Amino acid sequence: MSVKLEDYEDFLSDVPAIRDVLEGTFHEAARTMSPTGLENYLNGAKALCNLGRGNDLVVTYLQEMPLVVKECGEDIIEDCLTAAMKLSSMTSGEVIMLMFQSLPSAARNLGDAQLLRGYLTFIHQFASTAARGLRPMLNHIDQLLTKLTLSGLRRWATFGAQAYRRDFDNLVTYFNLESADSKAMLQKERRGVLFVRIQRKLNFYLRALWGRDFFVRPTGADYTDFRPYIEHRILHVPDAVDNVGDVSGLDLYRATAGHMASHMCYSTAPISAEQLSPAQMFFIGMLEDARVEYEAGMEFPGLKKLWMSLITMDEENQEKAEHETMPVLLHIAHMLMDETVTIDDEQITAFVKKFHNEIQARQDDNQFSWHMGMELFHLFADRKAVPSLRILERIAIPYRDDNRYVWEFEEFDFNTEY
Amino acid sequence: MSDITVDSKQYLVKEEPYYEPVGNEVALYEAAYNARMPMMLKGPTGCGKSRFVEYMAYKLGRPLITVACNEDMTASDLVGRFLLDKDGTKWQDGPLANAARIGAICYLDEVVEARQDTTVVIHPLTDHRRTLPLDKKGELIEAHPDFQLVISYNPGYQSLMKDLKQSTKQRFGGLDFDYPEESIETAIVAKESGVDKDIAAKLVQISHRARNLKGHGLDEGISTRLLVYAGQLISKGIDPLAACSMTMVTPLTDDPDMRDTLDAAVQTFFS
Ligand SMILES: Nc1ncnc2c1ncn2[C@@H]1O[C@H](COP(=O)(O)OP(=O)(O)OP(=O)(O)O)[C@@H](O)[C@H]1O
Ligand SMILES: [Mg+2]
Repeated sequence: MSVKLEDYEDFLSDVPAIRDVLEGTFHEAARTMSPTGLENYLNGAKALCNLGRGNDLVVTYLQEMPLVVKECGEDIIEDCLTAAMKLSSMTSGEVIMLMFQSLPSAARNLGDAQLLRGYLTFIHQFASTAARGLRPMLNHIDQLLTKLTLSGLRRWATFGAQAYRRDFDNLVTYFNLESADSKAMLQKERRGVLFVRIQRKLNFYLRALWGRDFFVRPTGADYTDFRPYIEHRILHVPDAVDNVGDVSGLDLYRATAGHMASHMCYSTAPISAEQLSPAQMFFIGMLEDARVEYEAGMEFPGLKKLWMSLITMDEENQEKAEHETMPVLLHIAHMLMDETVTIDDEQITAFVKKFHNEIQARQDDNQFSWHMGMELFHLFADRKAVPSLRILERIAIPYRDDNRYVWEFEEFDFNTEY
Repeated sequence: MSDITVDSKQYLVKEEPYYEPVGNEVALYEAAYNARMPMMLKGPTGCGKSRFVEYMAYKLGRPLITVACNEDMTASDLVGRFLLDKDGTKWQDGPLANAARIGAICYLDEVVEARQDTTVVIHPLTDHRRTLPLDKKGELIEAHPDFQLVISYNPGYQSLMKDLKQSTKQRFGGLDFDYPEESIETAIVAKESGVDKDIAAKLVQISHRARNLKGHGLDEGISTRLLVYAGQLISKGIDPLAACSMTMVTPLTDDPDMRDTLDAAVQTFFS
């Protein structure tokens, strides 16, 4: 199937201004889109024309869309059109045009189709609560998104919208980034490192260490309990992180992606979750983490050092623990990484010693993690000291994923195309 | 008019160069030399091509004349020219003429760098004629029976503009070189730089990580030569991270993201 401009002659002959623009953008669009995408792109122009909000809107759409597709893929075209249609009942053609104008920057700064969809939803919600703020905000979107994540932007905007619900002048000043509270909020929501800024470095890093490509995607890490995760062989990491103690945000990203890559590189089969309680699964996962990190640490002692610095960071903050077992678990995680670390507890000492005695021989065997994990679970169960799952899952090891991969493992083949 | 002559002994390789064979290249080269076959050594920068030629020249007991080729080089730079001084004009043989007369091995390093009109002067020396016409002087040198021509060639960065003509390429037998396998490269780095085996092994592993990035942001991997440099600094007491950064990262790329990554990759090897 091939899409030709001539097929759209009917509609184009009515609007010569649009045809001129399209002749310029069509070529670029045809390079970045499949025939289906191209068709959606052209049909979209037609639909926007029919909206009757002026040619400028259509022209902007035609110019910006190929740039957005380049960043986020062509499936996004329909989402953008739907968003424009929804907006049309709430605001002027000019604001819809500004929305389209903001999309290339949003796509570039968010770096992911799913996040861009979130952005479109946000714009829609915002239009229904503080429509007057939309224009000034869209005028500053590049500045905002180079500093904020999507959730940061949402919080920044919500604050302004609520504070100046009935005060149009101040609403506009806020969203023009002119007022002091606007700037202060921006500062507060600003994260240490945005994923899109370090994405290239992270990809280089993983490729250098393991000689293959990994797909890493930013994920809106809105809520405090967010854990990175591996799904369909894609590493999902927070869209922004702060520095942790002495560890820079970039190094935290490296530690996180390195940990997940280790799961993928040093696992050959899933562990069966059959008959296991979620708490037992947590303990097995913790030992599985120790196993893959052992293997990675043999190859990359410096990576292990980085992980260790993140594990020990919270050890001192025992008093803030929600459950007395949590600091002990953190300490055990540390001991599993470093043989020389001790604890005043015979059972745990014996347990960790067993791990270190056997790990070399059983490093490739995740059944070892199963057995050791269950042993550790029983150790705490016998003491009636197993925290609730909610607390367990909030263990203060910032770089580790939620371990769903351990149970859902998918064969990871160098040559698999994604 | 008188000619300037040279003493062939000065071109002999006096001490046995350290060369660690990586395959059967020594035997193959010997056979090629016995047939006086012109040779082309292909391989990335700093993988041991020059060292190999030195070693073979030593082993075969032949003088070695090396020419580092460059874009500005003219045919006269290879063949020779008349020099003017207070006593009149004198002909001075260029290195190629020189080698052909004394029966040396002539090594044209990085020959693609030379312009094609320069490269063609080697043609008559590299076929059955084994002659070198000195057009300006009106002399035809018959190559000494022991003369052999060797060129080196880095297939990695040959661009469309810079490649040898087929008519040049097809006058040579070829030997492929690459960075040696891990254990051999480790031995080379340890021996050449004086660091112990453990450090040498680490350096080699780091270079493998960087080679993973070749074609993915890096044009070239870290060469054996750079590993030797790193080892030399470390054995002089420089902190390994600093030594690696200076020798294995900074020279390799100007891309800040890539440098940052390489530094981080280096760090993963030191606990
Ligand atoms: N097989 C080897 N045996 C001993 N040393 C080696 C070997 N391979 C590489 N080296 C070391 O690597 C260094 C660089 O090698 P060499 O100068 O021969 O590279 P090259 O291939 O000629 O590079 P270029 O194309 O840049 O001229 C040598 O000085 C030596 O220390
Ligand atoms: Mg994990």
